[in-house]
Amino acid sequence: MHPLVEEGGTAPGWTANAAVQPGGSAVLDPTAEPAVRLHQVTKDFAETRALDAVDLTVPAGQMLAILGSSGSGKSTLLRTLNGLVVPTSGKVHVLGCDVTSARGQQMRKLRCGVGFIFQQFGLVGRLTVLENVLSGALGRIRFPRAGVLAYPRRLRLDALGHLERVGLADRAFQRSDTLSGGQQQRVAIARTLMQNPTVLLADEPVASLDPETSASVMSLLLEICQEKGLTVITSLHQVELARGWADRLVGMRRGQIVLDGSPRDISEEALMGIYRGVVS
Amino acid sequence: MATPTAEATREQPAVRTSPPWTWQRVGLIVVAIVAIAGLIVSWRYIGMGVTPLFTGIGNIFRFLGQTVPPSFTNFPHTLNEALITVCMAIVGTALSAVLGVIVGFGAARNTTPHPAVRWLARGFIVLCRSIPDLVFAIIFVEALGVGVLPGVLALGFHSIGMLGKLYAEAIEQVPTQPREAVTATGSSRLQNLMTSVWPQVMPAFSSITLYRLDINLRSSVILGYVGAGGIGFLLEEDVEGLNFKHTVGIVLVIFVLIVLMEYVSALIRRSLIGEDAPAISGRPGYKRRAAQPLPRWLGAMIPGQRPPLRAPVPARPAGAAGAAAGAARRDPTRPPWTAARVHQHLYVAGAVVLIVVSLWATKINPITAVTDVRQIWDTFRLYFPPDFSTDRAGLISGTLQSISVAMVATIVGLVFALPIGLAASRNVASPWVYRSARTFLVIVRAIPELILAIVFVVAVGLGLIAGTFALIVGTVGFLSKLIADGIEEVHPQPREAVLSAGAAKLQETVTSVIQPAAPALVGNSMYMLDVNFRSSTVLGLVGGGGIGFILYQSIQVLDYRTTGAIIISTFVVVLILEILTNWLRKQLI
Repeated sequence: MHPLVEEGGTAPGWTANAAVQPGGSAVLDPTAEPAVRLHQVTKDFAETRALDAVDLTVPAGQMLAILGSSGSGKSTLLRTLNGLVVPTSGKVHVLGCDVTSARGQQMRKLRCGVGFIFQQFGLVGRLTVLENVLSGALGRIRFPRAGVLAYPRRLRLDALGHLERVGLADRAFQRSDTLSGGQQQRVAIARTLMQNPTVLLADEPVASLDPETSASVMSLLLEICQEKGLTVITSLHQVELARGWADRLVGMRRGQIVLDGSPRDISEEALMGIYRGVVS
Repeated sequence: MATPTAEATREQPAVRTSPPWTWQRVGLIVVAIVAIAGLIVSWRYIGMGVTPLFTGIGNIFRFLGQTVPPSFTNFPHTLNEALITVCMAIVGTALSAVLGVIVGFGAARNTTPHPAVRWLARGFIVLCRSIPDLVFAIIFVEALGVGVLPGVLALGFHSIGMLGKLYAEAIEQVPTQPREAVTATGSSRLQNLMTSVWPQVMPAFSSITLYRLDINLRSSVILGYVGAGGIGFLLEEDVEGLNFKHTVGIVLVIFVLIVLMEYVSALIRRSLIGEDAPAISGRPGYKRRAAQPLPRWLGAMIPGQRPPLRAPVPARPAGAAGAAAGAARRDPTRPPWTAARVHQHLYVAGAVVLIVVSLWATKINPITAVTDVRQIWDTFRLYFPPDFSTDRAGLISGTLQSISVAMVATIVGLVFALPIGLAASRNVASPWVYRSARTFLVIVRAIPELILAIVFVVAVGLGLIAGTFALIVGTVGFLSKLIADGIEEVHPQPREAVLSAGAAKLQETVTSVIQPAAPALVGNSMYMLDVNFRSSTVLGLVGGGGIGFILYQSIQVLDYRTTGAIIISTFVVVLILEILTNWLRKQLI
């Protein structure tokens, strides 16, 4: 059972908020701001409506999994949270910052605190593993950097520490495109850790991995998130994985939230209904 | 026995076995028909035929008879001028690479700061490309006087046209995911470009730049013809004085230099591109070799580098003691000196040394180039506003002639280039065919176009036909190489799949080599058409006809504004070709 879930009850984050502490663990605080708040968010891509008046509040420290078939709006929702996608209308607040109006420095500062793990890892193939991890610190430092030695030694040691944490310290100077898919996703996790995030967004982080690697990557991610008390929002395709992992499930279909509750309260049938399109 | 059901006996709807008629398909067929019609019309318009070549073959032999034995009198001076030509090409390429990177990032859709900047950068690129290096050289010689600097500036500015365009295309092909991931970390725009774009475009940039250096070395020979320094100046003196034996001596020196440069740049390019190229022959690829540790002797020479152990590496002792022992050997945060890293540093250091030495050898003072900007600007202003009225008929017929010459040279060249390109591809031809074809290409490409034009003028007389033949030979050399390089990049897996299905060698080549390479082939042919149109201006210099002839005439009588009009006409034609190429590429890819 998830440590934040009380015996016989719902997840604490479900009802209580936690104070947001960049880089530190979440401390329960009922008066604190929610980590993420979306109000009537709509996003249109030409003729397609990817998000349709979405309302969502995620308390700090909560682990939320978004389920839904391809094209249901999961990725767009995640991308609106760190400004990679600008909504057509509505308001998005993350860590108290209005993402929809944030620009320049403000956006950079917000992104520093919001880690993002991509399905396709998003590593720069020609760079070494260590350089990729170090790129996670770019939001905190000035000037462009080229090469490992362009980063301060303190950051290099931090990056090596994170690589050690994900079990890849011995691959630090290998080109990242020579690693397997699972190893590349571990590097991506280490890069996110380098950001010292408070909120972690993961867009189908294990969709391109085999079941065994998926399980090991997800358990690593879970361990780290628990350790650091991160607020986690992830989109997943594997229903069973989501049930065992998250303390809140959100189902999406055609850009709308059609299901929202704790894994215990949502039946298997209702979950499968998201994919079959029978949930109203 | 089963009886057919009502559904089965019902008439089946006709199954479509041919692709549907889309606008794209219609458009491509129209382009193909226009190309064939264009070839026929152009052929007739310029009065092209092979008969003059056969009747003039005796002239070629008589001419060649006057050139042997080659004379190498005053060889040290010739060699010195030849080396200055190489240095001129190196500095000109370096200048265009620096400016090209800036313009390329501005012109690429995914890195431009603003759409207006993109269009401005694109316009500048097309402008630089449409003004031939020879015209640039004439303008710079006019502004700065005879010397090497006008040549360097001419090569530099004209090359931005190719480098900026190809750099921008390479940038646009960078995958979006790493950029998005680095953006998501809160990086600034510049940090993002340096971290997620620059490392990915570096091999392409290096390869393109080396390619341009190759082209610039050939072009720099021609520039000397109009007083822009280097060996071309000697060449012009000898041709004018009908001293053909010494001319051939100079041509041989140029030939050796071009072959040497070709060899060196191929070596560097293979090392750089080989990293990402698919393994074709089953030999260990560069990536595998680069990841290997350095030889023991070389490793021992580099501080902080641990020589590789011959015996299996013992397991590192666990805990703090082991970590401390490891740290004592080498700083764990510093990358080790692998073969790849040493290569990379050597290439960068080598390039810097070459540029510095070239600057020193050509005695170019970069400060002078900056202070002379006003003078250059004043000279440029002489060409504007352009005067289209003085020789309107000549301008129109000259432009049409040049388009026709370029069209015939490109299509006829393509017919020859396709089989030669296949023969010059390592992954298609047998080793000896490959080596023979590559040697042939090196020889053909090492002969400057100007020399080819002179030979054909001797054979068939002054005019368009001589220029067309010269361009056909140039096209075969250049396009065959582009085709061969493109085919070598074709992935081997689909080829294996087709062969596994029982396809014959020719079927396999057509299905899994030529078809996948078709978009690149069309793109390269269109690029060649563009190059040939601009080259026709150069050939006008030695009587090759076309727009080059009236351009040269207007320059000689100092009719600057008519020259300006010719430059504008060239710009418009190149711009139309550019738009057509982009459209075709979009349809095919």
